[in-house]
Amino acid sequence: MSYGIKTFDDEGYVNLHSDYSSLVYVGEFTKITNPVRPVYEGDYSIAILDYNKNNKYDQGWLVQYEFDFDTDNLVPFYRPDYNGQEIGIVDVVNEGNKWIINALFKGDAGNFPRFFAFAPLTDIPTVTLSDSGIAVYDEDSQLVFTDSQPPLRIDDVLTVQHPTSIRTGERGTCGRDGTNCHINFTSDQSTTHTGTVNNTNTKIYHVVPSAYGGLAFDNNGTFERSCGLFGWGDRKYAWGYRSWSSFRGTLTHPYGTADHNTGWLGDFSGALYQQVNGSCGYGGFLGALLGIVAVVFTGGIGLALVGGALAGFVVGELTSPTAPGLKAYENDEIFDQNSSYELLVTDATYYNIDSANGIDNSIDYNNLPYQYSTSPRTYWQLYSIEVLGDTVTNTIEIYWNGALVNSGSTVGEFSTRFTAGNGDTYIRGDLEDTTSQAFSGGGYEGPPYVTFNDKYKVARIAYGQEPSGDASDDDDDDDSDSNVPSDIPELYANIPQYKLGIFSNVTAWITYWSGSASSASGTNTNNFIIYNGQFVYFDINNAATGTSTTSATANDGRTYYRGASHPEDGNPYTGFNNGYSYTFFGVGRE
Amino acid sequence: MAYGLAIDGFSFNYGTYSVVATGTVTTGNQTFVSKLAHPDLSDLKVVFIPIGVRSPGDEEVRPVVIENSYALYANSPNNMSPHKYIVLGR
Repeated sequence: MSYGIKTFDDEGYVNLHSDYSSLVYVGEFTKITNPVRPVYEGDYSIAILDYNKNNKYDQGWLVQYEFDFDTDNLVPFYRPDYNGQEIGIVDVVNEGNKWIINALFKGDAGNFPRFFAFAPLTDIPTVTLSDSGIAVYDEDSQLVFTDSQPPLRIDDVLTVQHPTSIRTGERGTCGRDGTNCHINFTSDQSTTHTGTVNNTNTKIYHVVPSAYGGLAFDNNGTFERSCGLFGWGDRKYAWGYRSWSSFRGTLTHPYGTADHNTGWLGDFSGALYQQVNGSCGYGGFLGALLGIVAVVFTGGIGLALVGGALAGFVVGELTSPTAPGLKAYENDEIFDQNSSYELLVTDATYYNIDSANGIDNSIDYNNLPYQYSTSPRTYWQLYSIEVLGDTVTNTIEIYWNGALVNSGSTVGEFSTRFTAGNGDTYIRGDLEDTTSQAFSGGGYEGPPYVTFNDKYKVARIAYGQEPSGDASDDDDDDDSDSNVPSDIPELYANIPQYKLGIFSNVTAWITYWSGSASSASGTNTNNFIIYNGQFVYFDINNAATGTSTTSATANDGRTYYRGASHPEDGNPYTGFNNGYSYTFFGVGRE
Repeated sequence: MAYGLAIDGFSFNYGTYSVVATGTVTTGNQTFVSKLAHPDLSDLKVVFIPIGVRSPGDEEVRPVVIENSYALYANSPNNMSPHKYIVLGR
């Protein structure tokens, strides 16, 4: 260079050069969708519930972020929500001033990471300079450096690559009885890349993994059974089973180490089972029955995703597609694994970025809808014992619609928020009830002590479904078939007890019809509603309304809405052995 | 502060990367950045930023970078999804 300025860092690298623009922090992305875990729900699908998504298909959560900023170039960084969280950027979409990120993360729905944007200073239309300080321009009079927008500070840089396989361990098998069977596709492969700076909860990372792939399992066979007069005939059967888990390359950054582990996390899974049979006869026609599953499988699987799961990922005003592309796998495959790519590490504190977890900018924290009710219990309760003015013990219990949502978790006395296992966050509001006090002790019983039972209002920020009366009950998280308006809580409680004939505390919308076949016609299906153990609605005299009934005015004059179906309870359930099939739904009440 | 640039209370002595070049990776074409054109910089990195949804169904891949002592080459396979490149240097 013949003119300008050039400075160096302590390692001898150029850190300011008037020929080159600095890269600066320009803002944080906003999360614009709820996290989802889509599964195939088309023909012959086998339900994949939360347990299997976690333990068999290694499935993470897809989520989308948006950032409006006028720049031609943008480098995204993310901050994990917790120590060792698996994260992968799936897509970045740019159209005009709008930047979209599709990301995949592990954990619960509420554990979404945060994303931050860096851009060349020369791309920023308006930069406010300090009253004093320095501004550096290039030969085209473009601002390339200013102390009012300090450049990206690099703590570490590595070149990383993904492992060559997703899983090498045993997977198990599914066969003729595989109508509710799942293969273990959980990834057991990772590669460690060690840098020079330890990970902490303030480090943020830029990396766009290239690798993706899938694991698949296929099995089929035939058998025959005796039939006809005296069992002299035979009936031939053919069956097929297929399942897969689609994976994306992800990384983890364990705190207290300089390790960065490349690995795999699932983004889309599916399982199907089909069985067909011929008529009772003596001849063979087996060839016509073979290959049935393959025919189903190739029949437009992409259109048969769980209904609407990715609908929220479509940014309407853009002409570019913004929903992540998903792939169903027929065989084990890996793509784009050979590429190496850069991992940049910096620290959020350099840019005055707070270290809070997963802030959802779409929520107005100043105007949360706090609620308080004693029946069903909806409050944040602090139970404490004071001896001579000092608190010696305390217990927090958080109830929402009768469910103890922090069961098994300890919440601190002074905590004001709690995130449950399903990702829902509960926030403590104003103190509502302080009347429950008791004085005991004194004399031979020991020192006098006072027990307090303070109850606070509580607000819920929902990412999963409504609690179901049992915090350990991890419901199916597909709400796409729910008809409950978004501002009304959806309840679903104690169906196992209902199956035993115990109605107390049961809350559900239940349909039933004669026979065991699926009720696809929408007729001859009866509806009834139980809410907090009370039967509030029957329409057995108006059976023709059928499955099309999605809301009803009940005996109490209130309007009820049919919520999401709960396949984990066997829909259609025939276990009462009364000749009827039952389907269980959540329910919301105005 | 033993070294670096002090600017009105802001100490600028840390390591960073500046933006050397940006552009769009064109499918089937090779983009290269000559090291000789940037003699003051001793460490160049290329980051690829996707600018559209990648289709796994079409087996789309990302561009790759190849480096030798003279240049950085951004290779773009035929089944590449759209990307921009940012060459960073220090």
